Amino acid sequence: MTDKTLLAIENVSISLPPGADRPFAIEGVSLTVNRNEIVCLVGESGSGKSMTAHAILRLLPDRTGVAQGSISFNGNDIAKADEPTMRKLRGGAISMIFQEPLSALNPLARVGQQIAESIITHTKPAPSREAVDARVQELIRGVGLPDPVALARSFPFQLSGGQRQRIMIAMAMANNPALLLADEPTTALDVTTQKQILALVKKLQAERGMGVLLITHDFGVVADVADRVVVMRNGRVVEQGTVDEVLRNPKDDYTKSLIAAVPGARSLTRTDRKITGEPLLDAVGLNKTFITKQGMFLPPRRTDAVQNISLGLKARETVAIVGESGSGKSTLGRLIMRLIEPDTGSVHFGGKDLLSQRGERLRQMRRKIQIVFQDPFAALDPRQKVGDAIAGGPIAYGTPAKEAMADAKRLLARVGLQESAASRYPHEFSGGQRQRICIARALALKPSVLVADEAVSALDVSVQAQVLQLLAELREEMNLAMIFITHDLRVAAEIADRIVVMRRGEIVEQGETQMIFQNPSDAYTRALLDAIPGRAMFAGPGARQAEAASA
Amino acid sequence: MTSASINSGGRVFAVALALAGWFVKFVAVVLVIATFNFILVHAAPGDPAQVIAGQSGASDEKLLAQLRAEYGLDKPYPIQLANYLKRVVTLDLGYSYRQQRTVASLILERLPATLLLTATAFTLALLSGIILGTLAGVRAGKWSDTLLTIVSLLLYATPVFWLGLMLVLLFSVQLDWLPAFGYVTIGVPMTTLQRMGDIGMHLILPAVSLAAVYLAIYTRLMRSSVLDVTHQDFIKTAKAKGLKQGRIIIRHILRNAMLPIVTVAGMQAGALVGGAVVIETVFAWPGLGRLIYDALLQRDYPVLLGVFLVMSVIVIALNLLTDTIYRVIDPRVSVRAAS
Amino acid sequence: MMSTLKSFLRHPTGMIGLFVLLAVVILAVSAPWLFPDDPWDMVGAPFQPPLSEGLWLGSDMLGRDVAAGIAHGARISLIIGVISTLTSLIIGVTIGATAGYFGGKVDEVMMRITELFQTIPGFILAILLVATLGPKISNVIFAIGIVSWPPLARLTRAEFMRLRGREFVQAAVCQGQRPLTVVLRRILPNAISPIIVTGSLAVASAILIESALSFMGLGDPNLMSWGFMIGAARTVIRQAWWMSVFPGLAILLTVLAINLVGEGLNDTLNPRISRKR
Repeated sequence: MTDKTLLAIENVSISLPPGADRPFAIEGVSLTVNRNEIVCLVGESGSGKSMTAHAILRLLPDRTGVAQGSISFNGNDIAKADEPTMRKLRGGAISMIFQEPLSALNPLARVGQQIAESIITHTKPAPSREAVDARVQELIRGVGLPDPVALARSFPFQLSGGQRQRIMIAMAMANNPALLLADEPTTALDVTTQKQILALVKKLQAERGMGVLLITHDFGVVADVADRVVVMRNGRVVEQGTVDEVLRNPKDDYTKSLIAAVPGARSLTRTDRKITGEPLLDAVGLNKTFITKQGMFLPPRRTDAVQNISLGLKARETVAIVGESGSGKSTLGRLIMRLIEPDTGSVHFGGKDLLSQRGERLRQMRRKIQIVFQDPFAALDPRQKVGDAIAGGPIAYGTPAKEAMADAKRLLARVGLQESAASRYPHEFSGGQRQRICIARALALKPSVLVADEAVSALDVSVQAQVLQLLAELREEMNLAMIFITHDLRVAAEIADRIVVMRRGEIVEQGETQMIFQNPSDAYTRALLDAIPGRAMFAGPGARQAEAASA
Repeated sequence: MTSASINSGGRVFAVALALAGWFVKFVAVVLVIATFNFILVHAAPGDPAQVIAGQSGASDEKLLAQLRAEYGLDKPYPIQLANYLKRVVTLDLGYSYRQQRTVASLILERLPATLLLTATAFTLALLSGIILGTLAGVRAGKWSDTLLTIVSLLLYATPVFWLGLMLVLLFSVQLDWLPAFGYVTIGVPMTTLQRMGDIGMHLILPAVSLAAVYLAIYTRLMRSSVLDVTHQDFIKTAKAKGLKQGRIIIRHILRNAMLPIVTVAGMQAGALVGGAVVIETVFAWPGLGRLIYDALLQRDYPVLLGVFLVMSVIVIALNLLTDTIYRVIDPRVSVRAAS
Repeated sequence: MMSTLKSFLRHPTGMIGLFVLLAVVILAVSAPWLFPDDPWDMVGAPFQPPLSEGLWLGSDMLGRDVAAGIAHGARISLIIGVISTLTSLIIGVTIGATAGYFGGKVDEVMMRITELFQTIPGFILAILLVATLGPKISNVIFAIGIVSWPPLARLTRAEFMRLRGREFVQAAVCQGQRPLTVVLRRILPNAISPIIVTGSLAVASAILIESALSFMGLGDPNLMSWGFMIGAARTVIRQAWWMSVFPGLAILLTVLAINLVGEGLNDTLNPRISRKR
């Protein structure tokens, strides 16, 4: 420990209540954060990274606690400090920001008042109203938000995700902390917003010489902002070092696999796939506006989700639809599947217009287009056995039950599960396994088009890589055309032949994957590419070639 | 979305809009009830004129003929309905032949007592429920929480009229602390202030009996609401800012946890007003409930229907109150002017 | 199904409620054997206190056996409670499911109707209905059913709307399942748990409404019910406290038991999910 050491966690274990799946949330964890540096704490779900940060300010959930070890801040062991001491530290010398800014702010209080609360709690004697207001506005300006007076009077629901997170940061900076703990602060944000927030954190860190402990699951973020890295797995630290050491020369196998699993690091799409012919599925002029009523006297609110979109999909082709939240990509997917009725437009498939079919004819057409959803927990009926869920489709179309079950079992084996899974219930499986079950369910009907609606977004990065690999294999085996909806350009780079970029309901640009990465023509596409975390290290064909060219 | 859209002017406008919406609802309810009353009179076994005349006038042919002409009972239904609606709008709720007075005057005489009882019970149940529920939620798992839960369970299962009787048995008959029935002590001259105190003493048992069940409901609801809110992220943020627990409870938990209780209180308003009828019977409280009871015994339909209408209006008023409270607390609703 | 039953058997307060409820049911069923005489018969001197000869719970102002009244009254309360709840379930679930599944205009119309019924003070409507149509048990059941359906409709609608948007329901549609199959085999089994819980609590509330109606003199005059007994006891409360205390305790215990069973069902059918979801 040197003079520069701000925070030293030594050999800390956190016990979990009896009945949890393991006795300790983290075991024997040691790490340090010095002044004027950013340390990234990386891991997947269940690694204990979040618990570690919560333990520092003693914000642990009920019935968990630090069982052994010491947590020193500026040389003093705070793991055993009393509650008044901890209260002084919280929001004072040590601040914390959280992942989901909408739920992390009191929905019923104005944001200015919430920032003021932070100031008043830590300033004795209590400053005057004007002084507090002035300071609040100064803080809001300091995080890059315009019009501080009006913003301070806003409620959280009136702000965007990025604005809310800036307010959280302003609140955290209120008392000039020496140490900032950031628990996945950008995971819930769009990629362009993520870039801005990370830049803000870096700027504030440099200005104030703070120590920052930033928790993330994304190695791209690590590459962009970290000075040092700590990698955790299942409650233990597996590797730590400077960012150069860990990223370029990882020693631990798990670290290596995590780095390799970052999407865009390798491409699954061979350039010789030879996609030719007439489009298999042709969506033309799709329009959808959502109308929400606002009571008896106000005019209803209109949201133009999808505006005049046309999209063609050739046999065996994979098209990725990429966009941020509000782009309309998910709505488009559901329109093509006809899970939502469009206002106008047509979807030509197999010679007929899907949107003008009814009743039994529609049901017959549905066979050939299947979907895999984002949330593996909501996509399976908790009261239905897995085998029945998969066989249900073929049975509905007339396949005899025995044959359908046998096929279901074969599919389960093909997606990497055991055949015995067929008689078990969804809650017995992990997220990645459930997603495989959903893929098996979709493929049971032998479709020619598969729509994957953010199918890997809710999965851990290593599981994500496996599922993408599985999808790439299956599409070759079964001659599948895929529409792959995602917010992550890196994922699109891995799996797509063609990329379509959407923004606010319109197609902004489309083209072959290579082209989009090397030669984007639209400013928004360029902004998206620019915002890819860890672009230099990870992001797909264009980046690596550019790097090679400049080497 | 601009941050300037909620200034005080905007919120006033939103509340005004909400009031306008309530007015429309009010008119709709009145119309429906009036129509329903009309159907009921004609659905009752027997001659509608006899129904209106009640027990007293049923055998008086001259009266029946007069009624038929007055109410236009031989005209087609739509015209009868229109006539009835016109009368309602002019606040003519009919005439009670039994009591030889207009229904409207009878109701007006009894209305204040019912309003006093209902308002007191409603406020008592809501405020106590919120406070006790917060206590229980904050001390979850401790003996005070268990005690509150058991008491709530018992109160929730108690018939409201029986509770009233038991309270009378204990506090009046046994302990002689409080009067057993009525509104005021008769025959004793009093100053205004003394009279108010006297009414207050008479009010305690009926109001507590009526409030008890709802207090139990709101306490349990508030308890689970407090527990839910305590686990939300913004409470963690408040802790991370270094706030004391007391301040967290009052400034952050309370307001957010209160919202579902306010909504439920509005939805329970109808049951509360109905319960007032029973309580007024038990305690001989001279309000609309007693009026209904007496009118039931006498089969005095105009009075019954008139009271039904007025009590529905009271429910709407209570709903309006809870809705306004909700909008004041929750700014999200103001802007969207929820339907 | 079996696993739910087993979890319920381990729920302490739920089991207590179940036992008490079973005791009440047994009392109701065996009333004709335990108290073979008509509860309206005079079997002793008036105003006998409890534990007088042959009268465990005393006698009322006309010399009728209070214990007999309670035993026979149990049948009435239970029958009315269950049948009126079934009525309101049928009405409420149908309206709620239709509104929740179809949405749009259908939903709006159904919701306006439901709101209307919730604004009208239900008990007073029940009084009016029974007073107008006549105090027969069938009218009492009808009135309680008419008055109690709105919360069930709201709940069913909320559940159906929640489930309709759930991905596994959409997946079933994509799999080619017909709409009726989707509703009956995907939505309903997942919606049924809160409906069962609310339904059981509705039985308790129906018993309370029935007793209030009887207290006010609107019950079936041929049937001895707990509410009527308390109503009859009101004016003589100073002389004969037992006439009102015991029937009231009977109501309290029965309603409490049902509530405990309902809460036990709630805990076993919808286990507390972790905070994440």
